[in-house]
Amino acid sequence: MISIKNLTKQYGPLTAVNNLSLEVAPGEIFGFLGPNGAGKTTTIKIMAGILAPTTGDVELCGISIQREPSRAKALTGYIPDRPFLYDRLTGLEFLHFIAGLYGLQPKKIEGEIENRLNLFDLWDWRNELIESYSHGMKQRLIIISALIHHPRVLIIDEPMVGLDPKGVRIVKRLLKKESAGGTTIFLSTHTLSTAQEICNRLGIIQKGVLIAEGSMESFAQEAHWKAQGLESLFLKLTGDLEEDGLD
Amino acid sequence: MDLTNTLAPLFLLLRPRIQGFRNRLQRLPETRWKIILFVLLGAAFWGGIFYAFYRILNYFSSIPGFGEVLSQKVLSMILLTFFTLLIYSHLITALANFFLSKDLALIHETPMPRLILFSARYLESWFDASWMVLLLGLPIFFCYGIIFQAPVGFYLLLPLVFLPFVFLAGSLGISVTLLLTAFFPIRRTRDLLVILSLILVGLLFLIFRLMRPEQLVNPEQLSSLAAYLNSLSAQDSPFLPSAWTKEIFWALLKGDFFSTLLPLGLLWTSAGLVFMSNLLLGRQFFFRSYSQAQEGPYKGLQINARFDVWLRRLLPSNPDLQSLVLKDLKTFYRDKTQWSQLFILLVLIVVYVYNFSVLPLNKSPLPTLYLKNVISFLNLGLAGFVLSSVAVRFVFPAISAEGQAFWMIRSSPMVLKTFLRYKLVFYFIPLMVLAELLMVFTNRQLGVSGAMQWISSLTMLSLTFGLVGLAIGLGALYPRYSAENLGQMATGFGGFLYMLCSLALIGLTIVLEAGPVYRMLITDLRSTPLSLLDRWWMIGSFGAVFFMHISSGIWAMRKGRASLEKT
Repeated sequence: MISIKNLTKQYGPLTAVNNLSLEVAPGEIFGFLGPNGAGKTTTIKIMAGILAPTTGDVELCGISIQREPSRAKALTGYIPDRPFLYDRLTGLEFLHFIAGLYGLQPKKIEGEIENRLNLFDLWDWRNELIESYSHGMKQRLIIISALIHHPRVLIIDEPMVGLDPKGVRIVKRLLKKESAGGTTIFLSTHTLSTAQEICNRLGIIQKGVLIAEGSMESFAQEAHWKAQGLESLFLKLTGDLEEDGLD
Repeated sequence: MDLTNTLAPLFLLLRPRIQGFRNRLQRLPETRWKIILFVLLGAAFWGGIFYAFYRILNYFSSIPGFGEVLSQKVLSMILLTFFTLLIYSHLITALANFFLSKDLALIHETPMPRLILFSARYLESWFDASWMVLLLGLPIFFCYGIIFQAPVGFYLLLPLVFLPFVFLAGSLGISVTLLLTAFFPIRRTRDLLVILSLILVGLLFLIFRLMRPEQLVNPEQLSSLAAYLNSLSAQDSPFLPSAWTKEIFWALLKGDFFSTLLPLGLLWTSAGLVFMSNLLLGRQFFFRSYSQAQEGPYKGLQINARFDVWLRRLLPSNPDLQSLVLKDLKTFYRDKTQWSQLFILLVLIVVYVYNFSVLPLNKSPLPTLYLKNVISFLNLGLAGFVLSSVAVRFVFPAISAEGQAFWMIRSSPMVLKTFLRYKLVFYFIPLMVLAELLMVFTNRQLGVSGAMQWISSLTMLSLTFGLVGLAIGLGALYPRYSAENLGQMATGFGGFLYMLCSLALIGLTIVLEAGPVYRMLITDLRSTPLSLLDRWWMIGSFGAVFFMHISSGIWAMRKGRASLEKT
């Protein structure tokens, strides 16, 4: 469903992503972990079609994001870590606008929009300008907008930022439900407990290179992390265990 | 892809802008007042241009033998200036609309075809960059129609001429932007602005050379009247679209519709051709350049650590003030967009000062010293205007520029009063130096009397305080933390209000000082001493001016502080 092939991205002398290859199966929730500046967001932006790779390609549902960007994006939903929203539009107007970009007729998605807005407690706010929304409300609106066209692939960069506990729980349940319905989810997060809870497989990237990849079970067998938790394994793999300054 | 399938998504992309504007109108009542104010002032400005240009053109057209040729020459100059301005404004607007807008990531991640997004941004750039020139041009073109008694067809066919004219100039500007961004390392987009500014300066010089304005005002330099007439009626370069436009315009004015066909065809086909080339360029480079625009951090200019230490020694010993000064200096130093704008302003100021050296004052029938002092006094107003233009661009955004990081100041132990006072001093010093240099240089060029030099310098000193205080205060009252760049921060309602207030302050200064200055010059001219009444009048007027400058600065600062404390 998601096929990343020898992906490399260079920013001048810096190689942000280095020959990354990865496959994610249909219906799978793939957790993409790594320390700050490891190349997660760059990889995700290339997958979402808003950044061109230096070499390599990404196929979503067998369609190349490079060669046929419009077709690939029509099947994809993307939730960025720092989303842009039009402050002067209302929540409802924003959703209609996004739906239009995906070629959906407003009348056909009215019910869908109502359900999603109710689910995320935004129905009463639908006719308010987005500038009056809190950070968490904006994040919820962006999640709704990414799901409105029923994508077959969901690419998510830090989904829980700014969400309250209820919002976090809704998102976790929603992702599991979407995955069960066949949607492939590629999720980048720093919240290791979330990754541990909902992901089927994990990949850890550091300095642009995939240093570990496998199912949750394989990670458990390899490093006995279940006893110590995913955090210890992550820090061990990325070599960030030393915190001398705190001692 | 049929036309409906292309146009529907194109208009969909314009929807947030239209809907956002409508929402602002419906939900924010102050927006309506702002718009009404804008419209009223715009209408007054429009009327002013119409009146002034009508008088000028009426005068030119009435000169026997020269009238029509002179009017044509003026039209050529106007069209060439518009053409160049349109190219430049499209260069800048296209850069923002195609590559730097915050909503681009949101749209690029959707299946919207890139060429449609490109076309929508093309349309937006065209609108953003040309409405002002069109608005400015209309009264001028109407003046021509009225004075030369044009037939109705002239007015009806004007859009047919100016649509391709504006579109061609705009498309050429967009072509340059697309080519520059395709071949320059765009992660240094801001460097590009410096280059664009240099291009503007180059274009300004080119325009003046192409226009040869000295021929209009100084005919005696030419060997004979025939040579003067010849030089005026010489054809403009046949490669200039502004020359084709002038040809069409003049033929329409005279009701000779048949003669317009060839140049009109040339104008339309050229506009179409450049547009098609831009579509090809867009297909090839649009996404690639956009992608490059997001790449990598921009390090800016490095500041030597030793320089840092040296600078600290020069500053007051308070660590909080030291931090603020160093932060502001470094931010300014590393932001090349600031440099480019400063560079343009300096060029304009140099041209301004230079103009004083070429004023033909000796040819006037009035006594030279009297005239020089009067001009020096009026120069106060002009210099004040230059100063307020610099302040609206560099000082007004001082609070907004703190942007999303303003919470650091607010959560620090520094009180807002100290912070605003620091900003006042930080900007007052360089602006005061600039203002005084302006006055000293222009007064030296004019050779004005000592008393007038003192009046100018002291008035400028207090006026600078007033203008800087107003800029800081109103900037705090109407902050735009989320604006994409410093230029944008000054273009909102607050910036507009600042310009109005500063113009009012300058106008009142002139009004209050005009009487006593006139009395002083007259007594000087007659070599009689000032009467007691004159002396009291001078003390009263200059005192009122000083009080007005200081109190308006302090008032605005207080208002700004009160507003910041509430938020």
